[in-house]
Amino acid sequence: MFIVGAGAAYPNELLSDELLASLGLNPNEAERRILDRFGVRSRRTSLPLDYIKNTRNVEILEARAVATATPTSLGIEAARQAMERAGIAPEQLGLIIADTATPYQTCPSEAQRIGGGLGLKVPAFDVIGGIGALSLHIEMLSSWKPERVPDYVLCVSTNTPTQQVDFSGPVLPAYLFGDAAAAFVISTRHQGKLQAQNFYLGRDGRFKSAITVQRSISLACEHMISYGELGEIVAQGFKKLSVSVDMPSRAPYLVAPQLFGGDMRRYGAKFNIPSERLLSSTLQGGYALGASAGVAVTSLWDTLQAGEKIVILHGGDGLLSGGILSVSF
Amino acid sequence: MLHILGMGVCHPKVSIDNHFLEALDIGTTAQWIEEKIGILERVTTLPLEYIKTTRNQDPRMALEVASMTATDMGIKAAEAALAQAGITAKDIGLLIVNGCSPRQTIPSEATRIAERLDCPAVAFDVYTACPAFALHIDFLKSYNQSALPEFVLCISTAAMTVHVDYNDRSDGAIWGDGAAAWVVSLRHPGKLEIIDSTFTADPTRCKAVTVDSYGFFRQDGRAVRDFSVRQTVRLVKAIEEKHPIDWQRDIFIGHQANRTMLEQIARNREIPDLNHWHNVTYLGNQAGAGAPSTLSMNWDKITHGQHIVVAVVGAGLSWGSIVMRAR
Repeated sequence: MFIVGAGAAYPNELLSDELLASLGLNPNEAERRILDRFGVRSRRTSLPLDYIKNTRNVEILEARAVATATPTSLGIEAARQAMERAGIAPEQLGLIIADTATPYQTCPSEAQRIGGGLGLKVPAFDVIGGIGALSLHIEMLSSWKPERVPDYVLCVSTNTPTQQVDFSGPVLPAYLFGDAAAAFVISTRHQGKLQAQNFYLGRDGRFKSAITVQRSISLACEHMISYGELGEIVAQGFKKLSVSVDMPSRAPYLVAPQLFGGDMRRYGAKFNIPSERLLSSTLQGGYALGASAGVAVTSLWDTLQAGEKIVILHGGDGLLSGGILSVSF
Repeated sequence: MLHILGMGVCHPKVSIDNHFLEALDIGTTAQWIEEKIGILERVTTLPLEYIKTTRNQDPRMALEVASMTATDMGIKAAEAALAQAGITAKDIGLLIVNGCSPRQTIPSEATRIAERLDCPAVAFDVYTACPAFALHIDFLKSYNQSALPEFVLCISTAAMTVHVDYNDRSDGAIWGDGAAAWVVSLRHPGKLEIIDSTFTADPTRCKAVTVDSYGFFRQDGRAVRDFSVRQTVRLVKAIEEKHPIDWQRDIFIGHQANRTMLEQIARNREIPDLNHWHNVTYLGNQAGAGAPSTLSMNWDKITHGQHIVVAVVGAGLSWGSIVMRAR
């Protein structure tokens, strides 16, 4: 299973801590400790900053009227970059699979909307696991009979959670979320820059989802995994993927559960992984749910050296746990 | 070879008849609905009084007054399917859901249903709206034998009336709510053996049918209807050419969009009334739950050696087919 192209897209507007504080969103001590675990310093938003300042996005449906991007437009932009990097034309795609937690429409599927935007007549449907889109899509395709996987498959995860944040409070969602899309062109027949070698998918019933996306997006801190549990998830992921890191100089890149970017900064040493090899898209861009891990992987695309390894882990949210070990060519 | 071991359905109790819609005074009559759409009643999770007084002009209110959610219906259908298959939720190794009207997107509809069923399986949504029955079967057919767990639970659930503008004389007449579930296995033989399936789409036409996440269903009615009839006929013809279908013995089930459309398709393929199964007349269009719920409701009528031909077309635009043989 090869990743032959990767792309990401996010809006230009950056929502700073200062702007959030100016809205009266001042975290208390307990909230600061949680935000420290997330590690988010700024977040990308498809909402104009003036709109957030003036309305706090209290009437969430108004966000759509002013938003500079939709989940579909971001997905299409990420897909175009992934195809360009794969060196293929849209017409070479044989299947589109998409994931979103923030769809503008429940029907048609996001994959069909993205396919429509690309002008394609190909099978397209959504495969949505909640958070771990990249692991889910790759594990699923790798479980298929080779003859059932088209030459090139487009996998997209795209989310605009800031459009569903109520900026009048509570505090934590305002500081956590950001908008982004990630797209990958996958092939079993054409060698790509990355090869997914080991993977796993499961569901850990011990945990409940800390995030709920309904009309608005909310965070249940009582369901968040502890720092220790996160370490356990990473250790188990390494074991399942047969990854051992004896020396920092030979460490893989690690895309750990993206919700806990701050925690992972602290965990690096424990797993012998230098900080420059801990990949997080959330620190500067905010947490974009299923798209975050993909955006982190995509950030490496142009600099990856042959033989480099990337470990991508999802888990701890009660939805799906999964992992991928990819090796670059 | 994939098998279907058991099926189940859930439909809400409240029924909207054509006289109720006529009484809304929205430019329709019971006679017009019966003649044009062929639907006599449709079931809804919404109280009739709510529809009468509000016409559901703010779908947010519908969420508050609905008697059941799509998740509730999916769970009930799943329980019936598991019972018919003679297994429990703990035996399921993979749960996939087509949820046309989710109230939450995280957790996914599949995860919410799995948690409430106490089912420890990997669970995720596999979604295309109306042709879900074909998508799920074709999706599972893609898996390597060793990668597919012993039992897979598939669910399609839709509370579409929440998204209906009851000031629109057509939309109000079409939609109903419901869920269907089916247990699939590669290793354990069941009543129905899957001998063929297809699924594809034309996303360039994805704007023809839309449901706003917080708003209404909209469609380019005439164009979608014409396309659906033509495409279903093409699917059935392709199956007739490939498989030994005998419409005096075998069964046709189409997408339960409306009865007049289904009758047009059946007439074109010379399928006798008795061998054309449908439930749209009294339940309405239940989106992705329509075709599988029809099969489930006729489960006891299936006879040995019979082929069941399912051809479904819907939003996306997407379409697919299944050919099953009764063991």
